[in-house]
Amino acid sequence: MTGTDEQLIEGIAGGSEAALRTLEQRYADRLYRYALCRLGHADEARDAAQDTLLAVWTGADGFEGDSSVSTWLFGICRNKVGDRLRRRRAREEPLELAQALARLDHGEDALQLWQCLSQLSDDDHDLVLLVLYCGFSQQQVARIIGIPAGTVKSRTHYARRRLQRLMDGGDGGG
Amino acid sequence: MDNLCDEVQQLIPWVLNGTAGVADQRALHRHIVECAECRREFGRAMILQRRLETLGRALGDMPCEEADRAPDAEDAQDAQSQGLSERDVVAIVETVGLPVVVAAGLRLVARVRGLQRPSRVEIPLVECIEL
Repeated sequence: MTGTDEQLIEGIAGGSEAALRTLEQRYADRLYRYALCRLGHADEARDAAQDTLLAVWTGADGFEGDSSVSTWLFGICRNKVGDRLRRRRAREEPLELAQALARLDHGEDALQLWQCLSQLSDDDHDLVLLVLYCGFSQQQVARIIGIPAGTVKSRTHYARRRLQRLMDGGDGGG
Repeated sequence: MDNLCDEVQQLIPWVLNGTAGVADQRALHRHIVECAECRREFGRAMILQRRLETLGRALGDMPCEEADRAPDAEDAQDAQSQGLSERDVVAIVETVGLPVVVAAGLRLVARVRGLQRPSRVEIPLVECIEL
């Protein structure tokens, strides 16, 4: 099935499995990679991406078209990731991703970055990934997170600086 | 650091991820020609972004911004695409070095020509959803 993202959402709202499959082809890997960078656990990331698509399947008629579909999807996925992070903190499970990176031949840099990202607050971690990894614009991030674009701009600036201080061996404070 | 530096440094992530408007791109590049501190900060941020890409590759992936980026409604106001001036290019080369700029240019050309497609993670998500 072809069509714009908005047409696919319309199709999904009408019960079209083909539209859902096409949307999955377009977005599943992006959602998965974002979730993986937040969660550090492949199975949980897959589940978060799957939960996002399930939410689209059951709630496509709630898409009002005042943002792009990609922004809407990442907003849902961010909430699914947040739910999982809160549940995990209650269980204090180890991070699979950190262990996997440590086993790579040249994974030291990636592991250091991952460890520094993990020390950021959830909001800072999210901003760095959405902007510098996923490549979203200020307006898109504002929609995804639900804060004004101007706030996104300043918070992203300070989140990046905190991350850089951590990578320089500082405490990331300030 | 004065207010101008602070304002300019807030533009850095958006210039690096390619979503800044032309005016913001030019403002940043004009400023870093004159300001060593902001030039250094731009270079540090560029290295950070490259390390995030490396992290993505370590996960067996390419960055998700490689995926087909159809222009979104929110991006419409930033959608103008104009070339950088010679002065802008000189500023970038002085900041990060010629090899980095050349490499970035080659990647951009490959992307524009559609030669470099994002790798996909094959996850049959829909198969797992009870339709």
